[in-house]
Amino acid sequence: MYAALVLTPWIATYALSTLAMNHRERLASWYGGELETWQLERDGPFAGSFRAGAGRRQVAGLILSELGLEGAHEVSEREEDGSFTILRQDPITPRRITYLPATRTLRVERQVFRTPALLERLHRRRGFREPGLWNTAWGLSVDVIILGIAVWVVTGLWMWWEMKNLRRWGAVCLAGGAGLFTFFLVVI
Amino acid sequence: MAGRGERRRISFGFVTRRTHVYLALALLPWTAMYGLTAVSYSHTGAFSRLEGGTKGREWTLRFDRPYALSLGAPESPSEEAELRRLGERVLADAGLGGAFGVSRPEPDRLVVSRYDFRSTTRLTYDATAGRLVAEDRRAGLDPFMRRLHARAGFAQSSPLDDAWALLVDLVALGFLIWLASGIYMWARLRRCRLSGSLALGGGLVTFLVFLLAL
Repeated sequence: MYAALVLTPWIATYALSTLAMNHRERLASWYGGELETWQLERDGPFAGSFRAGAGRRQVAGLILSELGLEGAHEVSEREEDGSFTILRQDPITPRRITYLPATRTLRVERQVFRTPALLERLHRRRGFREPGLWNTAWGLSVDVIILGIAVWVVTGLWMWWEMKNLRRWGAVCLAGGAGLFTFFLVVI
Repeated sequence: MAGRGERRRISFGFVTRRTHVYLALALLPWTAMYGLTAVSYSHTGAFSRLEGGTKGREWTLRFDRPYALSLGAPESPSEEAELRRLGERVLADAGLGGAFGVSRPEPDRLVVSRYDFRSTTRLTYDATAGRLVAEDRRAGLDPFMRRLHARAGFAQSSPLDDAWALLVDLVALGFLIWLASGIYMWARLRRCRLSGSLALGGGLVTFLVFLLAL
């Protein structure tokens, strides 16, 4: 019970985000067909400099630091013009930052806030690839949820079995669910 | 106490408790599945390491035969709906059905990936050569886990896929019902209200801090 109370926000997020992702196209149609749209925040010269041979992660790290946007991000480099595209994975306000070394210009766009997109980002946020205390802590919280689910399954079964008057219909529900799940596992 | 001839009055609390337990038992396979399969996302490659890597996951040829299908003008991009129509046609002509994805990596090439939880059949159509090649591959443990976790949506045209998507909705709603009924049942336990409030409040604050700090 206490584990469920503590983890209530995560469980609610995963449930709501599952509904959002299961009906992604319908929800996108409410917003003109796209859940992810970008709004220009700034576009101008960038005064920062990079040492020769700096890798894209180092370039991205310096740019994010100059903008005060340090945190989890992805970075890609285009061969055609040598530009760097950085996706700052802020859960509430993701940003797309494009740096053009040839002209030393920086374009910063923020993603327009959409609740379904926020839920999807929170659902997909996991793992331990990103450095930083908060990213690691979030990865651990996902592991705690996984353990929590295992605990609820086991303790829930035990508590049900202790209630003798619920055993028959409980067994019917359990067998029905297991049968349906197995059917789908095999057929689709 | 109600006598044998009297019907027991069914209270909101009774309905809540019964719903909580019977819904949880019926959806237990999905709950356990989502918990277990989340490991493959949280710890990438964990299940692959368990089965010793991806050796043996080779494509095996099912058939390679002449085939003719008009893909449309090579210079015009194929829209999603048109691509799916072509994919359905290729699958039907190959005697296959079920969930699939389709792409057109080159103007004269169409690739249809028909998949289930355990395997993939890849059909590659080369319009220039006029040939259709079908290959099969069994999914490793990691891809199997990820497919179980991620299979959702109503984009496929199969009624069984739609039924699975409805079950995904039901599981999500089930989680929300368990949260609501669980909070209701906890609130009825006077001795646990203070400690439970601390737990609930602590979780909410921690979650909000994460939202701001990540």
